[in-house]
Amino acid sequence: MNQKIVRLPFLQNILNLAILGIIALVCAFPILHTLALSLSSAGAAASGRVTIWPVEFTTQSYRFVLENPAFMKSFGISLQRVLVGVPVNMILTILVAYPLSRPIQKFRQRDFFAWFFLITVLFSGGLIPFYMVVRQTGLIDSFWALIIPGAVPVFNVILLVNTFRNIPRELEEAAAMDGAGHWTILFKVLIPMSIPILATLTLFVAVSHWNSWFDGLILMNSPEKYPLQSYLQTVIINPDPRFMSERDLALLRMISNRTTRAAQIFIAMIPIMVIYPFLQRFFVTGIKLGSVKG
Amino acid sequence: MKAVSGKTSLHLILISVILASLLLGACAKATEEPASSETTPGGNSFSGLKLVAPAPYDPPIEMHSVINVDATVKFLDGTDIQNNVWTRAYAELLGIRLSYDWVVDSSMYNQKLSLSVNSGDIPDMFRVTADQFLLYQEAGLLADLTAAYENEASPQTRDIMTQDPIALKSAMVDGKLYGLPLTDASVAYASVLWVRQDWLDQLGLPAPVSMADFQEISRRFMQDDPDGNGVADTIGLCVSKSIWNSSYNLQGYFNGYHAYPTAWFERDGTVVYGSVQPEMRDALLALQKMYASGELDQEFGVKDVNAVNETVAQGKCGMEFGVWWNPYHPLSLSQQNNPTAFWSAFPIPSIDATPAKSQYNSAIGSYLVIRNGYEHPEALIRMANFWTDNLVGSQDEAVRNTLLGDLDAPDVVLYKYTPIQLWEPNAPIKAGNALREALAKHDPSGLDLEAQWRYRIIQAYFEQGVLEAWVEVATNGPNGASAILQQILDDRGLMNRFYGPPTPTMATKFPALQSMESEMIIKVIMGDPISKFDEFVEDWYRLGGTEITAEVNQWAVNNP
Repeated sequence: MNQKIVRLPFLQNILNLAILGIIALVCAFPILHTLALSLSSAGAAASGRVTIWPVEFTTQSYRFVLENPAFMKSFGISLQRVLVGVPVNMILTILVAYPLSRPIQKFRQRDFFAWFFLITVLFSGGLIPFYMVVRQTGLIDSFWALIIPGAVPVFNVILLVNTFRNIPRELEEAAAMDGAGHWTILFKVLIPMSIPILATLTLFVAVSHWNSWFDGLILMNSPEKYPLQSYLQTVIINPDPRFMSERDLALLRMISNRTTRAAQIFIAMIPIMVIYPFLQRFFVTGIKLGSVKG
Repeated sequence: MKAVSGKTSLHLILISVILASLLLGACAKATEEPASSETTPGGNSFSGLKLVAPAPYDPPIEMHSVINVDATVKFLDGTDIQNNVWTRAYAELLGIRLSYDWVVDSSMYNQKLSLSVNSGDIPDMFRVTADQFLLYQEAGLLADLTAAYENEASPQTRDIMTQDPIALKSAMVDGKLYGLPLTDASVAYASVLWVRQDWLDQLGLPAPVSMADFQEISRRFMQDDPDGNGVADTIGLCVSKSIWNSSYNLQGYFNGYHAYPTAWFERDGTVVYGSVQPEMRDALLALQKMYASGELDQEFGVKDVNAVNETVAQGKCGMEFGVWWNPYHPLSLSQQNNPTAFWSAFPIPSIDATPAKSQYNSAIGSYLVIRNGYEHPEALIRMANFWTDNLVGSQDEAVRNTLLGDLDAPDVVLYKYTPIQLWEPNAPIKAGNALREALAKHDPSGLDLEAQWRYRIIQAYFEQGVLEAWVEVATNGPNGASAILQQILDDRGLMNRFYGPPTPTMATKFPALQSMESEMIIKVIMGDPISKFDEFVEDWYRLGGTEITAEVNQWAVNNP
């Protein structure tokens, strides 16, 4: 833990700051632009006068979105999906990683099972077989179709297996000497020592649950069951005027509203932006812990 | 790093989160299955209306279907997609209990349908694209509707089906009918020239008749500051990088030079492809000159339709080639910053004494089909009859309000709840003609309800100065765009000769040729030498164009 603080030459420091500053700006710009759009008047947004500062400030869009029952409903479904999906993912990840991290002498079929999981990372059945499996297990149109098919994130399992393997064997042996079984070793020794990576993985799966939209569109049979990102997908995709009748076009005039979309996108960003700062500090240590602990 | 393991608080948090979520999960499971209540309406809720319907099925039959419903579709209180005015009408008046196995956004409809059908989940009645139609027909999934159509189709349904001469033909395989084509106005996809009328007036310019007039207008719009803001920020002709789109396109421009890019047409007894004909050359050179002089947006090659919409909203756009309904969208955007903006439609100007012809494609793009093996294929025809008999050309306000939606409350569009919508192919032209006649006579009494509604809007523009109503004036008013559609239909149009499914070589090689084509056009306009065009023609024939032309000609022989 005795890190030396390396002092860079002044010029190099400036250069680093400039480059990192530009990268940060590139990342922040779309978010600021969306925020500015959502707080601008519709006219200003349509004529492209909004950059990163609201033009003709109004909170109209937010009022409209928050009064929209479909939006709030899918927001609720997405929250539910994260609150159910993340623990399911994490529990299964931990329970799969533990046996796979045991030495082969203690778990003779370990390599078979390791490949059993790994093969799903290398090969996938494709969309139609995936859909058929979900359909034939009766999950179509149910909330659990969003949770169960992706319940074991194999990539995360691999990260966790490596972390467990790198925890000094002596600790477990000491615990075993004191009469600890597998569960005690897992919960009292391995998990407490892997908090950083677990926090990181939690963040990974929370973000991926929050952001995934395609499975919602494919597996749900009615828009009322869409999670938020699936719902947003249907609102944000540009309407194709080729398939519209005259009446639709009259309607299109009333709803071609970029500010409302921006407000919806921005509200959808908030939960993840709130979680990030709390879990972020584990992020760096977590990744490092999984890879090069020696 | 060791310090972390001492933070038991986090440990606790993690465990409590896990516990909480287990509880939540249990709750979710308990409440997850929604109680789907099947409401069977008692009695006939349409008894007050004059509706034409055959004797209902007794006992009622079940029909499973699927439908696309967008987020913008609204429902009246207490109704949803499974239980609304249309499902009630089908159930009570026809004895058909229609239910939707799934409902999805339009953008995902085709993909979801493919998934469903490929996994063996085939609805009883559904809508397919031309490609899917061919695929499923070959796989034997579609029912033969020939007899059902012969026996049951009402005169009105037949009328609609035959107004477009290729509609039924395109749904036949070996002389048997496998689907009901969803008709629409093909000619509505032809381009007209849209010009900022207020700018024309401001600069005292005449209406464009020849291509020379067009060039002059374009030049003056760019140079003479028509918006009067003292800044040289106006653009003569707006074009997006999607050069064959329904707005900001280029085919309208090429048509002025008697060139018909992307279309197949007959020349000297054979069918040829428009983009490789010599007429393209002059048009490209002229566009190149316009670009060099600044009459086109210097960045049009990277601007998509949304980006050009911004230019229009900013009021910098002087002209565009697009379809007749463009004032509804996107041209109405120009009012956001210039309340008096007004766009007028003109027929495509011509390079010589021969009037230009606007090109268009067949609008038949989708079909209603019945699953092979479904017991009542004729039910589809009855549902179609129900639409056409009661709604096409109907004067009955109560019926229209009940089934289509109240014209004064356009945000609840009731017909969106059924996939069976058979619009009259020539409706926009007919409606426009009738409307203009009534406007000339100042007498709306002979008009149908929708036209009366439009009449009132146009009156509001002229009499009360409601500026937003320019949209209706520009499309259906005295010199509106729908009048030009009539001319295009009469003798100033060119319909794509090829309207079949992709030929074998087309399916594999056409996409590459198409992207090569638009790339070449954009590059030449932006300054590449015209020899690029000659190279493209050579490459086109070499890379599959020869085979495709032969296949299209073969197809044309079979589909005279």
